[in-house]
Amino acid sequence: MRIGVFICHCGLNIAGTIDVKKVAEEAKKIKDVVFSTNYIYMCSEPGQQLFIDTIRDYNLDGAVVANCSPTLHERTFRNAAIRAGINPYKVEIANIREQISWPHMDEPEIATRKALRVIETVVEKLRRNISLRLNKVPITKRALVIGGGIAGIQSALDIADGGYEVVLVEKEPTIGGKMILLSETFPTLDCPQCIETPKMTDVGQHPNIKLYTYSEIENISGYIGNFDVKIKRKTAYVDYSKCKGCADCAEVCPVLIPDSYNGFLSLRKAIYRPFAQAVPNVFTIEKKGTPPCKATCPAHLNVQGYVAATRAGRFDQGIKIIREESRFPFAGIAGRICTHPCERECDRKNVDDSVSIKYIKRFLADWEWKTKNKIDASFEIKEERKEKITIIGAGPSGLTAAFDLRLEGFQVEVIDKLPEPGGLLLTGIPSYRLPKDVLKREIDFIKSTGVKFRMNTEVGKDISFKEILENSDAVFIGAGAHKEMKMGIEGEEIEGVIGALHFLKKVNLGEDIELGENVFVVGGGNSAIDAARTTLRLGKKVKIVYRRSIEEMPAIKDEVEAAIEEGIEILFLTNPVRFIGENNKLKGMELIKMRLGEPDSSGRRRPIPVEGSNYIVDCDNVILAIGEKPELSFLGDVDIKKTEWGSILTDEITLQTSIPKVFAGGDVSRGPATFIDAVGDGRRAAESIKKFLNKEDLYENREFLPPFKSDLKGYREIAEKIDRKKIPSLPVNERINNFKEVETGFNEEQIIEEAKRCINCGGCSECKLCIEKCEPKAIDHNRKDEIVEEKVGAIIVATGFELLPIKELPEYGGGKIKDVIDGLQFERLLCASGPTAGVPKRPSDGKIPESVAFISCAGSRDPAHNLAYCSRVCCMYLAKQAMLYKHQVHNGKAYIFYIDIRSNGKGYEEFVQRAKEEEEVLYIRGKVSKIYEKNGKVVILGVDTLLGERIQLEVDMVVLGTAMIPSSGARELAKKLRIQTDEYGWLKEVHLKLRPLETSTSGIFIAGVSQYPKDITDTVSHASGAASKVLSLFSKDEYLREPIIASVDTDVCSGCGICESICPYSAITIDKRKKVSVVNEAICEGCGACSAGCPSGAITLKNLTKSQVFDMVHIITGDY
Amino acid sequence: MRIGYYPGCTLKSDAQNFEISALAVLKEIGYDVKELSRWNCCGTVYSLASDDLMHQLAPFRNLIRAKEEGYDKILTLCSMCYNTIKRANLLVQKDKEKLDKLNNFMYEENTKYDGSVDVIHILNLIKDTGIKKIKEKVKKSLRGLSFAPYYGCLLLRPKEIAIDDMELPEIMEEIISVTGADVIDFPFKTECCGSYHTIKDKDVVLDKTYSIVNLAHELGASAILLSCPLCDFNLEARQNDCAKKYLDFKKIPVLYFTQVLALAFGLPEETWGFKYNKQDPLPIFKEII
Repeated sequence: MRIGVFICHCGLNIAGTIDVKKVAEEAKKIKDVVFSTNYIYMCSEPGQQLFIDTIRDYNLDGAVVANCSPTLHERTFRNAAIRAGINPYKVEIANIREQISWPHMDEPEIATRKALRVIETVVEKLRRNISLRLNKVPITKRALVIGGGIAGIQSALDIADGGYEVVLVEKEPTIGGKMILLSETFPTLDCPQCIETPKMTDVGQHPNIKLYTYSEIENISGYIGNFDVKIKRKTAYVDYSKCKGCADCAEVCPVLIPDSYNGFLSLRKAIYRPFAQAVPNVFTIEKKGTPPCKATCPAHLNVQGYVAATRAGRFDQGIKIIREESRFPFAGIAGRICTHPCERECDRKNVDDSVSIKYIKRFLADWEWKTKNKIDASFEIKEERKEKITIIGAGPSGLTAAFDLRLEGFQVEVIDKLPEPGGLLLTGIPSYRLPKDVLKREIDFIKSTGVKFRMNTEVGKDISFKEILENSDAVFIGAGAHKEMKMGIEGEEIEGVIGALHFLKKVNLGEDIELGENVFVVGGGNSAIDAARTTLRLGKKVKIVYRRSIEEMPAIKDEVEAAIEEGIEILFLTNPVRFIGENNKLKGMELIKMRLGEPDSSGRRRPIPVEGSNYIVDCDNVILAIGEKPELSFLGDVDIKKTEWGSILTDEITLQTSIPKVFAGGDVSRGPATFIDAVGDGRRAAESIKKFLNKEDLYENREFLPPFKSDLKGYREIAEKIDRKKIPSLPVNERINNFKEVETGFNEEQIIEEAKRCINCGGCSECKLCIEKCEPKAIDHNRKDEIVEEKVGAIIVATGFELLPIKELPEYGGGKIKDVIDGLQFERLLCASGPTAGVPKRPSDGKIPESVAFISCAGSRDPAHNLAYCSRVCCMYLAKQAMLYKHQVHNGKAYIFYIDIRSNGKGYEEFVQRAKEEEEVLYIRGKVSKIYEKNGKVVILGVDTLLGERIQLEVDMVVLGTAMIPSSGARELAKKLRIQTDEYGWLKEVHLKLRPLETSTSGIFIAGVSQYPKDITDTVSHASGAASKVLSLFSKDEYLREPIIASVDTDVCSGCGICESICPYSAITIDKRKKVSVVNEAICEGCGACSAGCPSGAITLKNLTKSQVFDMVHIITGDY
Repeated sequence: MRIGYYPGCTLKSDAQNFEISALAVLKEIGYDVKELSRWNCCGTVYSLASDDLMHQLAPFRNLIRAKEEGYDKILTLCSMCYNTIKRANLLVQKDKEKLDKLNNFMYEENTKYDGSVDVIHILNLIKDTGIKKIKEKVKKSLRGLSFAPYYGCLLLRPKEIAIDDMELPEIMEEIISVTGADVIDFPFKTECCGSYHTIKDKDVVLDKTYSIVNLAHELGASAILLSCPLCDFNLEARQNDCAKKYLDFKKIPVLYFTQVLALAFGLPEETWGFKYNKQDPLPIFKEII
């Protein structure tokens, strides 16, 4: 080789320490070096000319330039090499400035020796360099801009105006970002809506811009010039292409939600448009998921929907949601006797009490009957199916299964041994709780769909189960649990001891029953209470005996209270020991007192008898209500699997039994449970039977699943102050001697008030009131998310910022003080289109504040909050806000607490001086240590460092200049894009000074605050800069990439995959067939990590092979 | 689990009301804590100099004592004792070299400390027992009374030993609420009491006493409750001097929170420790008793 060595003086930077002449002379002695010189400024025009001329004149084929860091001038000399006619990769830099001259400033001799050594080392490397050519990559000339704030808008417009197509993706329903929310911008006090909306409109109408709002980036793969982007378009449940923005839907929506566009200072509807000038000008529905009520209801009724419709006074829609949409035939029944698990999970209970969902349902059913005198629901049975399904048991589970299956077109027959359908609804529940006419009308409705009923028929006696199996395509067993449990104590067989269900059935069916004057009921469940209150109404004296205390009673609390109100005494912590008879007739009972011990398996404390506390009472009858079991003898000798407790075994999700075409639900498979559990089972089993008969998989694509827990919480903070009312009931003296319905129900005003208590956990309630109003028919509640794919060549990330939540600043109240707000919220108060029409008012009481304190650096410049940086805009906007406040409240006092004032833009300093001098804003230098609330005022504890005194100031309102933080989701996005973030989450630029728009991944650029806090002026410049980088990229047809990238020696490579797992750019794949690594030359950035990790040395960087490196090490350590 | 009780100096002298009431309350909720048979000064302000191992010897020696007597946990009542011993414990748990150095220095001790003892404060111990369990012990409802909780600084700083959130702690409020009394939202609950300035620069303390007590009055508190003998000295004992300096100063009863619990649990009057209080608290409880 013929190598030239050029040593730069770099003025005195190198020559001041290193003896450059000596080094140049010594360098000539290195093998293969045919020329060596030194010059004062190699990078200058004459220096480069010297370089080029020497190469030509001396016929050099390689050169080492000993000067500053290669990051500064490697490119310079490689370009010069091209002009000189040699391959640029035969030029290497030896850094003798930063690495030698500067550190060894006081040791010139060492520096000189070291410089020579380093030059020798680099020459060694150069010997084995190969000529490389820049890689060419084709470019798709379309750009992706992520983020539709002013930065994204500016970049998109610049690129689009440059003639190229832009895809703009924004996660909110509108573009505009934060700038559109401001009231006026500093220092000119321009109206941001006036200056930004024209740009927004341009974006919306530009032929080159494809706008995806309410969308997020799902996935990005590929490399510069060739990115494949998957975009998730979130469903707004509104077809944006049809929506005209007329706002009729929002008028009728009954759901109110805190409005994030107004700093949560006002409310908006669940169907909303962020603001009137939104681009695109369309409405979006926000649904948060399945609310707790719907999730926990075994029948998954759309509870929030009918409650919301009721709140709007639209009872017709409410009952329609129950009857038609949820296909629930039992509105009147459930509204009276359901055990309402929905109310248990209702999030309103965390504010005061849960919503009276059951009574709302009842009101709707009663209203329907009152106004229409019929059950107003119609179903279309699409096609009649020939399959025959037999339902055993006309109780709630059987009736529900029958109803659902009939609506699918199947031939359904229900068999029951009672004379009328209803099961325990008919025989177990007294009519003062469930009037017989309410029961009849809803069962008649089921009959009207064509379900056949065969009553007075007992399976196992009148017809065998085997015969049913043979004659049906599917069977549902909803036979219930009617075998009453015995206590197993002495005297149980004496005449006069009766079972509660047996007793209640006789009364409910109007049969005669002999009952003495003195009756005891044993038990604590609903049957016990029902039996006791029924006995009372038959004119007898009755007491209840229960072995635990009132807290553990499983009966519905309201029922227990009503019983006590009616004068029924409950003997708690008491249990029967034996029954005493005379002439085989019951005469008395021995009782014993109990005490509560440790909890048992049900979690309730175990009752333990108290020794020696026995006593005897007289009684004529004892009604035992201690539980039931399923009675399965009706199945005959058919083999069907049972559980260890004697109920039918079913699959948890599909409710299928061990016989494939037989399904079961309700008490017969659960053991004694509730009405709504039975209904849910009937529904799930019906869906399973339908899938079974359609030969579909029973588990996939199910509409009905078991109840589950929802994590959603409601909007507790805006809950209206309305108490839950007790349901109006007949006074005791009017009801205890008859079976009239005890609860008389709420009236219209009361029920609307109750419905208003719902705090809308699910967001949109799916009440569907909006659909009727939408003329263009743009609303579709079943619309799903959509994934679209785009191919682009360059990406600009402009994800902007958020403000640090005040919750993170407990010293400033932690968000609990209403009148302490942040800068963006105050902007909304000042903005003409904001929640107060531009008049600053206190959020707590709506009064105009007489004094406002503005606190700078709330979170910023604070390492204790992990935010050591300055947010740059607060000094200016707080000055502006103070001024705007003073413009409105002339005699108001505005204080700004500051540490420094950073007003370094054009016109900024003058602006701040104006605030101080003309507007009389009071500037106090000192960080505020604590803010608290007292008597409706906000108290500030701070310090005035210029006076050297502590300050305690009482003001009406405080505005915090909270820190800017990266947008939530920016870190996740950065991971998807494989770009870096700094320790705060801001996107990382390649070089802070010289390359502030590029990331370490070629083809991906950053714009605006996503990189670091800046004001609008700088953001717009930054964004245009990023656009220009993209335009410059697109101006070529091919992109040239550095060829110092990884390369694989396939002879040595074993395909172990270590390099693939190391590569941070995902540039390496393993060819499975050949079992070798393959480097994607377009993506590889030449970081070298793979080379370090490769155990066999198969993958190395071009011109930086392992042997090159080892040889350099030999030389530099003097080891030769 | 064996819990050793470390009293510290003040609990045996000025703050006997704290000790009597605390031990009685702990016994009632099921903790029979035994006092360490030998203990020495916790180190106080000298131990707060954390980069000097010599100053950690005092608390360290107490940890050796606890280990020697076989305790898993040391319970402290006084905030300063809690602060120094807990920080010394953390120091040696994190840095084995320092642990070895200290053990080697204390070569005359028979036991080597290994970082296995936990240091807890009575507020944490009571809270961990379970609010429900403590509520069951309340025999007298303190409904009608309204207390201002005061934490001071040593229980909450530095962050790694704080017994609750440093800016908005709620542990004392949660515990006192079980008695049925109203616990007010007291903005000065973490304000400095003046601390050791009380020795040389009394006026600094009197200013703080004035503003803290005044705010408590303004917010309708019947008494201030606290858990630190130094705070108690500044906020209670110094009220007499405060009244001399500020003629409009109104006094207020100040109690250790355990005294209020002892009363609410229906424990005998001696356990309330009222005779040690510098401002008589009995009047505010007249109706309850």
